[in-house]
Amino acid sequence: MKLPTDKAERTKILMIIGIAVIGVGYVAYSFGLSPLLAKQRATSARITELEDLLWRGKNDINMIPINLKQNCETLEQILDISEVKRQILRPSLGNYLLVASDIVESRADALNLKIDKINETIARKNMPRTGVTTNPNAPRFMPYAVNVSLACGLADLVQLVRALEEDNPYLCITRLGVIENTQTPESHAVSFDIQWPIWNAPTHSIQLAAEHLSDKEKL
Amino acid sequence: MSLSVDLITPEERRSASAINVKSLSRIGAIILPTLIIFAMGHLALKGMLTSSRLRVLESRWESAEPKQKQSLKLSKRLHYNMQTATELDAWKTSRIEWHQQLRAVMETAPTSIQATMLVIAANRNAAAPASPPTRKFTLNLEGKTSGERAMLFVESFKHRLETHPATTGIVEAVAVANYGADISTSAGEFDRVFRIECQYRKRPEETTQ
Repeated sequence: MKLPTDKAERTKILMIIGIAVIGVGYVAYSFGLSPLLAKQRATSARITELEDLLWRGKNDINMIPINLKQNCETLEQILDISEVKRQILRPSLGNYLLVASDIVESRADALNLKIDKINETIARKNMPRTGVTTNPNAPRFMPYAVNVSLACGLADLVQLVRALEEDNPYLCITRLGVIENTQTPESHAVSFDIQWPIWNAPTHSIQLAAEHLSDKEKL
Repeated sequence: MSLSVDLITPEERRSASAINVKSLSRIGAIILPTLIIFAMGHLALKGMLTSSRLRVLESRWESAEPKQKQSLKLSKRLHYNMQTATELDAWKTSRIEWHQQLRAVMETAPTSIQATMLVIAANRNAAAPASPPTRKFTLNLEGKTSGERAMLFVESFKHRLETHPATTGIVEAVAVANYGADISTSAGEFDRVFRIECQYRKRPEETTQ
């Protein structure tokens, strides 16, 4: 096809061709190239995201044996204190006072001391709930305290306190009073509070034991 | 005078240059579509390769994700159990071994002094206990002494108590909180009563918390 010889006609045709080319180009860019490029950008972004996730995932997966071992050790440490050494006071038939009295009286008996009275100092309403909380900031332990009254000399008291404290590094004498007895100079009126940690949820230790067993199998 | 005769009409005129609009348009008409086709082909190929890589990565992530979730769960459990162990440890570090402190009192008390009352108290309210506990104790010792050098006995007792190895580092301050004449009916002229107060440092120490 030849262009017309008339310059004005030829310019018109060339302009129309130019406009048509621009139009086709615009349509091709808008409906072909642009979505294709956008899709490629999105794919590339997803690839970068996946590569990052896989890198982090690999690191996390590599940590499984290390964390499993460390968790096992931590659980063993807690369970040893709670279940083996019983240094976290555990109830007997739901009764903490029985266990606490038994501990104090056995140490006093060994020193030939006679305990006058052992009473609970914390009201029953403050006693633990049954469920294990999932809140990581909630305390796992709460104090349980008894008040012990007896009459003895200061040296005997030191022996009794030493026996209790050396037996359990988690118990604490939180209050102690010694008043002289003018009638019996060798024996004073003694009263002291002993505090033990107890599980906030009594089933917590059972849960930890189950977790420990399951982790040990995986190791 | 020069004379130029132009016998070619404008329509018949041709450019002598090798590069002219017509030749450029012809070259362009071949090269441009070729370039566009190559670019489109390149884009399509790149798109196919990217999509294939994406599929590979998606499938790898699909198999790794459950394991990673398991690892995160384990890490959370470990953190929780370590917090439990730390809380338990605070129960140990917040206490004072009172048998050592009582022995220190017995060892440092001069024979000229008669202790009448000893009280150890924690400043924490037992009705609203916290875990892990932070404890701050005070030991109060009341006693009697006699003689012209009574004040000296009390001061000496205080000094020996605060320098005893069992109290060093854990006692914040030892002070004679009260000293005066014994006003009881049976008291003599030189009989004195006193009270020594020992303030213990807060436990566990701030740095170990």
